[in-house]
Amino acid sequence: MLSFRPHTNTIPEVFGPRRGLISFVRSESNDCIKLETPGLLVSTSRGVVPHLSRDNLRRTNAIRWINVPFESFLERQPPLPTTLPLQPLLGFDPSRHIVALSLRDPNDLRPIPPNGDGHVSAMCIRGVQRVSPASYKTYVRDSKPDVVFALTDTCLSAPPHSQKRMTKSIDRSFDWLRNLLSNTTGSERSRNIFVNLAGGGSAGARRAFAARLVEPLEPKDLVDLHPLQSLDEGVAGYSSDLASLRASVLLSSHDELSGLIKDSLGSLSNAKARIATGSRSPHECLRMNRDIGFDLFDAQWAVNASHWGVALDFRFPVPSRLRDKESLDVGHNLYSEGYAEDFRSFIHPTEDVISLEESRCRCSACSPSFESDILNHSPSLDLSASHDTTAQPFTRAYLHHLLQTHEMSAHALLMMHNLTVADDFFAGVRSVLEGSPGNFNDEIALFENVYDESMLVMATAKEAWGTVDKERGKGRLAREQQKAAKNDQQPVVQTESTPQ
Amino acid sequence: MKFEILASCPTTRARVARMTLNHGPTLLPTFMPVATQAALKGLTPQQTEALGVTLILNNTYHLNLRPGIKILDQAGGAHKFQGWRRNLLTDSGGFQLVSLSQFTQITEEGALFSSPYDGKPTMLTPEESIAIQHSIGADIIMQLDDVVSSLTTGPRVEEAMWRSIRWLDRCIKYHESKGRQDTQELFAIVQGGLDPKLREICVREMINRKENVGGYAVGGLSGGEAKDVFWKMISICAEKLPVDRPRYAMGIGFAEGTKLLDLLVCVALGIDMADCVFPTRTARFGVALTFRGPLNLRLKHHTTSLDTIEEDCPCPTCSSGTSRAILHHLVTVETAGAHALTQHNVVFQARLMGGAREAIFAGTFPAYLRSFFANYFGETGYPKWCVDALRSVGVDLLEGIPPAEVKVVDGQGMKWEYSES
Repeated sequence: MLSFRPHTNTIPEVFGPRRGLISFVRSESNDCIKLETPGLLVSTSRGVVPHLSRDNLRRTNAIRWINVPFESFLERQPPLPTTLPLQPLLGFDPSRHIVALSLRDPNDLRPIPPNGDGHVSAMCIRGVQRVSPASYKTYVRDSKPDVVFALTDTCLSAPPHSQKRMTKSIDRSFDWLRNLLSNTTGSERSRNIFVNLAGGGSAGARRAFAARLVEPLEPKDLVDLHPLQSLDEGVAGYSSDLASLRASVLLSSHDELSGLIKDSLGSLSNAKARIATGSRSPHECLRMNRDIGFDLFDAQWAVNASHWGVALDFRFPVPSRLRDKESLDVGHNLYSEGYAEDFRSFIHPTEDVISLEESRCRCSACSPSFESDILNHSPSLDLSASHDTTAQPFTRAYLHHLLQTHEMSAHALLMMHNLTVADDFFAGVRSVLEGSPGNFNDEIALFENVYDESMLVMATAKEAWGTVDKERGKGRLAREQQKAAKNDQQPVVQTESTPQ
Repeated sequence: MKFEILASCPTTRARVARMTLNHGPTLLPTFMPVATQAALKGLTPQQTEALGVTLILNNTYHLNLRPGIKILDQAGGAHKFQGWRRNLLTDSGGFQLVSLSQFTQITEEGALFSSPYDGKPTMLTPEESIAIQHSIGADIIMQLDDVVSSLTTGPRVEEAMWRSIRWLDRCIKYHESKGRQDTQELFAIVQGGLDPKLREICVREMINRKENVGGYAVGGLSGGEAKDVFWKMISICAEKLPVDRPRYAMGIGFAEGTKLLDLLVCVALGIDMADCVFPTRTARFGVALTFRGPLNLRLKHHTTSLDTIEEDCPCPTCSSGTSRAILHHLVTVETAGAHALTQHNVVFQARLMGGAREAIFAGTFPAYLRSFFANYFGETGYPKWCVDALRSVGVDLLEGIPPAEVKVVDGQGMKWEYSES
């Protein structure tokens, strides 16, 4: 059972930064998971956090709330998580992890056939699958997530979208939410439903959708959805999908986007949890927090950084020694030659700067430790185990080498690091909101000034990643040999005794 | 190095030993996973060590090119560079020279080759190879040998054998001139192709250098020679090599699927260590190794199986309950799938060797061999070369099997899992 409690002394009117606590109690085991907010949620790809084996996932304390898009499992019927629920299937730790299910990956904006009144189009490896609300409901029931995102009709076609289309969108989203909530007994009905704020880029549609959520239900629905008086009563919180919202609007400025979200949230309870997916940068997270107030953010930018070879290196609030700098990179493009001989750990430039303000990054790349429990394959033979778990931080030079040589462990190390940086970033936000909330806006302005929001370093890294990927692929040696063949080299081993 | 034999098999030539090197002890016999470019593909050193691995291999050729000696020196050696605190072995760089280079010319001085990356002609001498391996800093280093394909015939084979001996002397001289003999163990590599007489000569000559050599490798057996001949060469060498030195079979098992058997059979013949890319490579292609044969997790009939790869397997993948079905969903698509299988396969190989060590120690190695083969091959049939090789050291794989059910097959002993359609 999920509950969100905003800290009352921080809650503003409807909009503004807030601190809170998400608690999740697992009835079977009495595990209680607590998540301070604003905080981080992590999304999976095909059920795994990219590049992380299960043991590495467990080593990464930043991972607490995990979003699982169901769609990849549609490649088989019945889908795999209906035969074994998500937690055991995917190997998350029930005492530490909250697992949230949506149908689609909100950050997947690839063109897809449109939804219909009775189905949502979803993407799996075998192509597009149509999922009806009834099917989704059975998937939810059988895969037993802790939190569910209701089906939502998102328009992924190019804007502008007609009013008719928007009306359909909010009608469908409403119906699908109602369907999810209906005809289930109190114990079955998940109290942990999040609804996406439908209406796309249309302020009117968004207001209408929010209004419908809180409207008293029709008599027929009152029976089906007893004891709910409105759909909103059955909802634990609201999610805003910034990625598709950005794509639905012709001029996607911060003011435009936040205005649209406010149109939805304006008439809704500010005591319910708010999730934002698809933020483009930590800067955007800060502004969204400042102007609207969210409780959970995903950090696709941290995931992408891990794919592309960037070790994130930024803090909020900006540390003293950097406060007069401008346009610093948010991280290190470790593909760059400049790191080939840089034996420092990912984050700290010099040892003497480590202070209370800037504690060492506690990820498994910056603060690795060996396991104390090591497999022993011949117990009869004494091999006295080392009890010393001390390990040295991984260096930029080593990561540079791994990236240049196309080694996968680079991305595992970067993922553990970047998610931790993102997690620490939100911890920094919370500490400012707690300690000096009056400074929050100034700290945001400073952050925007000090760290390059365009994150050019990511684009540069991505390009380098692409080059290495191409060069290291199958047939590379053949290509090199072809190149050399042009220089008239003969592929033969010669010795002095071999006749020429 | 400290080399203590803890027990010897009363039947075969297998033995259990503890080899203590500069970065701690390693129990033998053992299998060495290959961390070609200073990383076991996909795994961190913390993960690798947790699997129970105490000795890995780095490739000199690759490390010399990237990151290069300058960086390794600055890092303080390959251990520090990659964060591995246990034992490390490097090869000489000679094999890849021949296999990967566009043009290689062997002279008495060394091997002249052109780099496949920039075409520059470079000379790799025995001294240079040892110097590079000094910079890498592995606990066991290999001499530069004149490596010749096992399929080569004629005077070239003998020439290479004698040259390898001369190069061993140069390696020893250089190694000791740098005072490294107490921190890095130099291994000699026995050559001689597929000629028993040449092998014997080489072994005899190299035994003469015993005091300057930490161990012996058997080289030149990865050219695709018939398994029949392969095991006989291993046997000849292992029989004659000194018992108080570790024996390392290099790059054995040319055909991928047989590497498991190769090492197990070689252990019975008196080999203590072997390296192999097979378990880690096949993992990345979706194949999990089990005591009942390999599982190709890409096949359809695994899509519904909620079983783990192998019951009782202590690897992180199996012990966390990872089902074959979810692995099917992940392999070849998500790197996390490759990591999960890599962890399992490395542990499988380690368990195979651990079980062998326990059995040798307890005097039950022949039973262990019979049991492994029965489980692994079941009805498929035992490869004849395994039956022959083990028979030569007093183990009859067919013992206890009713004659009507005995099935021996020719060929490598590859085993694949096929689609049920």
